[in-house]
Amino acid sequence: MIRTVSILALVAMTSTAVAQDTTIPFPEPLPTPEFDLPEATSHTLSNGLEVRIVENHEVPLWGARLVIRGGTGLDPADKAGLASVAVDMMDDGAGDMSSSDISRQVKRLGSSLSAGAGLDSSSVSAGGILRNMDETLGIMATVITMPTFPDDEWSILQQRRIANANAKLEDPATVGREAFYKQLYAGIYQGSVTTADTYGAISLDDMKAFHAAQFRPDNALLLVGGDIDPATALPILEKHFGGWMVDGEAMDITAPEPAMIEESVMYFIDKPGAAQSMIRLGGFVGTRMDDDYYELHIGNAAFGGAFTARVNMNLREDKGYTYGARCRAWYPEGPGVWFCSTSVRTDATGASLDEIKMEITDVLGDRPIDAAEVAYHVSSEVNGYPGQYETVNAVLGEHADIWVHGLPSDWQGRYLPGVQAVTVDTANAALAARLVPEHIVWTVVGDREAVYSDLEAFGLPIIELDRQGNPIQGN
Amino acid sequence: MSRTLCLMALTALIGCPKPTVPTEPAAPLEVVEPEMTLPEIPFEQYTLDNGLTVILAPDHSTPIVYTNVWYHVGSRDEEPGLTGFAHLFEHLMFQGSANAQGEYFTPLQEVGAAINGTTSFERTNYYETVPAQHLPLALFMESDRMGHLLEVLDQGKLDNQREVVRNERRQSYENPPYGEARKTLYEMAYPDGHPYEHMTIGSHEDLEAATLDTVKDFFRKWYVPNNASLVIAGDFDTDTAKAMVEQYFGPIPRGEDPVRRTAEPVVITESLEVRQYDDVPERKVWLAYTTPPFYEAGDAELDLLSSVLSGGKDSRLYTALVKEQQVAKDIAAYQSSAGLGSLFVIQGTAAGDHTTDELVAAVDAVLADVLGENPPTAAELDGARANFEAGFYSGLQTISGKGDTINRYFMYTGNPGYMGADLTRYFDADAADVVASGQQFLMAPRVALHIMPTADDVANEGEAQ
Repeated sequence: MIRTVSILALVAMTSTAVAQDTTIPFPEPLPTPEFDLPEATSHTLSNGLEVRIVENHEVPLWGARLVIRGGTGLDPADKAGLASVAVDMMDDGAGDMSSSDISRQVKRLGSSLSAGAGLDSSSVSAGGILRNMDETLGIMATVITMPTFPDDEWSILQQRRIANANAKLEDPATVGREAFYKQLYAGIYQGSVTTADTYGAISLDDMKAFHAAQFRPDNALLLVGGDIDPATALPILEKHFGGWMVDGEAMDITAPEPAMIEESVMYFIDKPGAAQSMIRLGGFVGTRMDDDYYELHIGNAAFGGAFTARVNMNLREDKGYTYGARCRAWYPEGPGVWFCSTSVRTDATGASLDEIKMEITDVLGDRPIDAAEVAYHVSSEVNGYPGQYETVNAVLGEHADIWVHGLPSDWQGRYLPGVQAVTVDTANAALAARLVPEHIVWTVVGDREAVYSDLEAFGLPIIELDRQGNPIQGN
Repeated sequence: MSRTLCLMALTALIGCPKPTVPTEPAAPLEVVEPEMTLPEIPFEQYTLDNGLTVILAPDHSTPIVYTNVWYHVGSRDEEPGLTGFAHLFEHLMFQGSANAQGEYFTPLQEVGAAINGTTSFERTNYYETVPAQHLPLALFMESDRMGHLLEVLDQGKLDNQREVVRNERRQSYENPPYGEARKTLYEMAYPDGHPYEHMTIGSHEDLEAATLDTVKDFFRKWYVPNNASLVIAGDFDTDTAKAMVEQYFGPIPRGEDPVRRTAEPVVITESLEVRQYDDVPERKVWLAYTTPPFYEAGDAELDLLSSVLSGGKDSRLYTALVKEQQVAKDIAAYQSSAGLGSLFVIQGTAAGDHTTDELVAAVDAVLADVLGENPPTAAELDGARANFEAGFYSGLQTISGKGDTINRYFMYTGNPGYMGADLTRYFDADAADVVASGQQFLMAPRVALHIMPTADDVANEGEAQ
């Protein structure tokens, strides 16, 4: 079988460009400039609220984010979506302000204010023009400490969420992603998939309880960055957040245990007439504290993480089956998840599944990641490192992540040495340990009539699901 | 050389002198607290002998550098039968050039670059953010595909990328619900053959018909240095950059100046309504009005009006349709600005059992009110202006944001330093201006596209169409 063009061949070609019948050689780089990681200073307000401040004086803007531990991972099965709506409702009424009041005041200041829940954490963010920081922080603090959860706002939001929960069933990309996580998270997170029913079951009291339990100064980190310095910013932060007091102790959130897919199966969801099939496959990996974290990162970059990785070069640039195919690992508080996803032409569904499977088989067998690929992707990561810290938001985001997940304080400093220490052997060992075909599930959303025989030929047991990810009876 | 203006005075209309010539440094004006300075991007602009415009904007805050080449060709320049060519061509620019064969991504990703290209009605752009020490590589790569692409472009690359683009079309337009709404809306708003009547993605039919010869002709006509502008933003030394630009781009021969397709401004003279029944979950409606081009009188006024109408939960449309009448689940209004003329679009989803007709009736009532008895208040306009101001600064946080902004201003206005003047448009517009623009362009014939679930069609059998 003809293989797709490998990275090695391409790299070799570029370095011998002079020897070809050409006149313009690849240039040498300029001297590498110094790069200092933007630092965050740590502070504590009088009520114990932890603060991180990152200075950046390029533009007269500021931004703040209050992050708390606890998110949709805490949702009960019958009330999936609770954390998300509780946080969403916080700027729909707070103190003596209505939803319109908050919106009007924030807008008048040229500021932004938003709130959202993730799997392990939730946050309220604000930002805008420097001269209006003080006033905007006052509104932000009111939203965080004194949300009122008005009934009329909930009735509007609830109807919208129910309508959205029904509408998403018509979107193959969403259906495929949610079905994948529903199978993966069964037994780990109870409320991983929202439906019209789960939104219908949530009450204002549920939201108030979530807010009271999670939004506490001893369960929060306040991150502030921009055209500020600690000396001037801290008194303002103290004024708005220093008086935030609550009773009792913060809830202890236990991280889910490591998990593993027991049986490799193919989940299929019918979408009659679909122009493409959505393919998503993956399984659990470890955590960021595992010995092979950086090794898996580089191994995956070569396998499927980068544009120039094997999977995308094969499915897109060689075969033309798709607009793009990527694989990545991500790390919530519990077990990490590794997955690949792509959307392929309907009549190439079977061929795409075969190619992906072959890439996995090959990388674990006859065609492991080679020295040139490791060097290439290590170079890519190391060179790209300063660019990750261009904006204050990116820096604040990393500090939030470190705090939420309790990563070691030298986490940022471990990155470059960790990546640079990866070798051919350790990268392949990480892939072999984490990409075990027996522990990978596959999901396909597509036109049953056009693709089902391809799925049967693929060989895995097929479990047909409805669009909410529930097994269809009789399959 | 920032010009100092008084924001509060401008917004409260208490008589701060308006700026005169926006791009010239001026003496500080009367200062009223708190003061603001207009955002400004320091730059240097010059032209190579072959006609390539070069704009340099140093910014040493992070050791990275951004190069951005805009070719002044977009889907609006495609002749009928060749739809999707500008975008297909964008893909072919990543397939290697004579001195850098193989994937364009390969040598750049190796040095940690972020790379991409995009195609719009107006232009096709190509960009990479690289570590500062690799500016030579970025310039070499961009220049090689400008100067030496066709030598290695072959049928295999065309066939492969044609398939990739057709998959992009399926993924972005055909598979998602309502994915072709925008396409239909523009077909309704613009006459047959108008440069904006077709989308950048093109049609399967035209993409399938693309031959290697037509693709090469497209390159020869449009991808000449005298039809491009190069912006370098970020951490570089100006003299070094100039020497490298000359070294890599200087030898590329000038081409004939291409003549862009153009069209007189379109005004919808008769309202048009289309009702589609499709495999969709909700009832949605799009209303579109023809409005002035980017940066021309009325454009900023309509931006401000859109903010009053749908920016935030205190906005006019949200309050009336979502909160009070509850006929809409969501509602948005925006001025979709473009060089040959813009569309002002109001887009909403009906709530519960309500119909799109009820939603449209409620929109019309709000428009009549805001353009009649209850014009935008000073507070509403202050908020709208402040949000645009914050948006301008926000775009300057990254060198890619800066670089794009500079190149956009250059292409549309001829002045890369247009930012201060751009923001001034928003601060100069008062309520009377906003209402006048709204009355002129929104109290006018429009196109209306309703897309509803197929079940609605059955329920209304005999009435539909």
